[in-house]
Amino acid sequence: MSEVQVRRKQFAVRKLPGFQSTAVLCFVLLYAPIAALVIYSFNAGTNIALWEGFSLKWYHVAWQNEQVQEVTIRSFIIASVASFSATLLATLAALGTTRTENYRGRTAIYALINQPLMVPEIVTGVALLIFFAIIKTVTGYHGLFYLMLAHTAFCIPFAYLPIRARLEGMDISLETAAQDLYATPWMTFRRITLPLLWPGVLAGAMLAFVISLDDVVITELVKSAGQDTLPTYMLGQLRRGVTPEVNAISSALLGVSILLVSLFYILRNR
Amino acid sequence: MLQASSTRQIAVTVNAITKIFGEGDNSVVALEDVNLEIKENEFFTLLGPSGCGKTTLLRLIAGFEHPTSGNILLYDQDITFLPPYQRPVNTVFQNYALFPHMTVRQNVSFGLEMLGRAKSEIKETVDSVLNLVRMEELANRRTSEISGGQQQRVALARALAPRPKVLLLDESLSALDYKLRQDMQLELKRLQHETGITFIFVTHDQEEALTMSDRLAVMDEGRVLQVGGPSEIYNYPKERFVAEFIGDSNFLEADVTSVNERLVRIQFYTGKEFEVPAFRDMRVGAHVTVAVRPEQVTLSNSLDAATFTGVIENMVYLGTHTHYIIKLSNGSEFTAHIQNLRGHDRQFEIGGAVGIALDPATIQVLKD
Repeated sequence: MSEVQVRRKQFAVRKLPGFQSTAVLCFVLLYAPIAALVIYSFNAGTNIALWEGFSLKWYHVAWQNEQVQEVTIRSFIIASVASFSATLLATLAALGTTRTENYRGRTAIYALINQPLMVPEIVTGVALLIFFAIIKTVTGYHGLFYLMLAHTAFCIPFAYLPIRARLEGMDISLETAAQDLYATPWMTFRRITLPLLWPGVLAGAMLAFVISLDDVVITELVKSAGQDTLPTYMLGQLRRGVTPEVNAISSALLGVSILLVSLFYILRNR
Repeated sequence: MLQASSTRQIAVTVNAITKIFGEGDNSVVALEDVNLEIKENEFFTLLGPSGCGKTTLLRLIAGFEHPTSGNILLYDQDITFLPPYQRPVNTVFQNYALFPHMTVRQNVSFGLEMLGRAKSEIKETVDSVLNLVRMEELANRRTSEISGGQQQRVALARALAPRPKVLLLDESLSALDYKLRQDMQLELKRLQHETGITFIFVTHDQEEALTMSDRLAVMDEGRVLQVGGPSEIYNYPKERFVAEFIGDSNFLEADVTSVNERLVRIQFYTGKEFEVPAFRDMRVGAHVTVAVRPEQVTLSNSLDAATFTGVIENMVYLGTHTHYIIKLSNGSEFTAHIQNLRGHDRQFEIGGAVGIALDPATIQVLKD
């Protein structure tokens, strides 16, 4: 009796009329297009809207496509370099904003590190385009380095957030205890801070990797001729006409992203 | 035992330590001109309410903080500004601070590893320390897989393994439940005896401080009020705070009527006079406060010979003792704890008149 009364007092969003149907509708809207994309990637025919039977044909076509191979490898190279350097820098930034005595401007630095999350990507892209154009004219260098640099820059906040969260959740007295037990600051970092921080670092790296892998806007503006990544290549293909090959590539990319994001959640909760 | 202690070497000297946190208007004085000498192989306790500066003093000795002025000596070495990893001093933290990514054995080995000891020596020492705290069977467990009491023992083993010259314990028993705490109190005394290491123990629990310490320092508001053995602190509190914080006390006003070389004569409002030892300059006519422990008075039905008379307002029977709350004839309250003797119960009743007799030896004159 009393239990029922207590329950009635609570605001239960799940008990609202239409809650379930709204929730189901949202999930359908979110995932139906993606489901369609994945399903049609297994279509045997060339038509994107007409089901002609199950086949792995388009995966095979995409796999054999030398251009796809080339841009995929390029994407992975950029994502690897960018996520590595972004994670390294983000780790240092996180240590600098949590493992020091409070100093003036620490909040400002925190805001500045996270600013790329707020600045519209197109603005960053245009800014980098102009900035790199100047450097390209001066140095004459047109290599992949610009893309790596740009990706590193916008990946930093994504790597920073999980690492910082991990550091803030870490008991500072563990580091004090290590120092008390004759560990120098460097040994304290190596034996205590880093091992405990490691899941956060990996999670940050994976998030950065996925973000870099999926980026279109900044890459499109910064890349030189012949430096297409997988997403910009797909964008280019779509302009010419849609084939289920793009579906297959998208599905594969989705698979990689899901895998990495799942790992991210597993590591974050460890 | 007592004689030996007086000839012991001084292990830790705290010399005119002042610690101020913050600057300007926001500054807080955590410690003010603290002086202490802690002897070798002593169980020394810093006792005081929270915020009295006892933990700050411990952190200064450990090296986690540095004093604003003054210095700290470990034997003859000035360690005031040495980093914590260069001091042969280890700490048992309040929350234990065990490394969660290591096993019990790895935790206990850590200090010795950092000191660069040989593998065989580390294993031998760790085995003996784990044996000392009775944790050898759980050596390969993760620290998250053992109970609070076991974690406490691992924290102790970890701090003891490098054989520090001084072991610091920061409210180390307060997280344990009552029974476990009593076991650990005995265990700590045993460990201190067996290892011969100087223990500095921080607590706000007066009972714990009295049972465990060889000597203790009572602190309040960043100052050390009194240092002494448990019975000395209990029986001869110099200040009202000490008498109040440790045990129960009755505080009574008295006037000085005559002063001898060593003795002063004081008079209570009832006209009764007592001769008590003078421990400071006192003038005739001065006003003093004295402390009397509730268990050190006698109650009687004969009112004429009594020091004070009053009416029993309340009584609580506690088995070994009965606590009496008595309203004195001047209106103030007086507490008496009287031991119960078989055949003598029901001597006094609530609302009945009662006489309180004091023994001059139990009267402690306090500083203002």
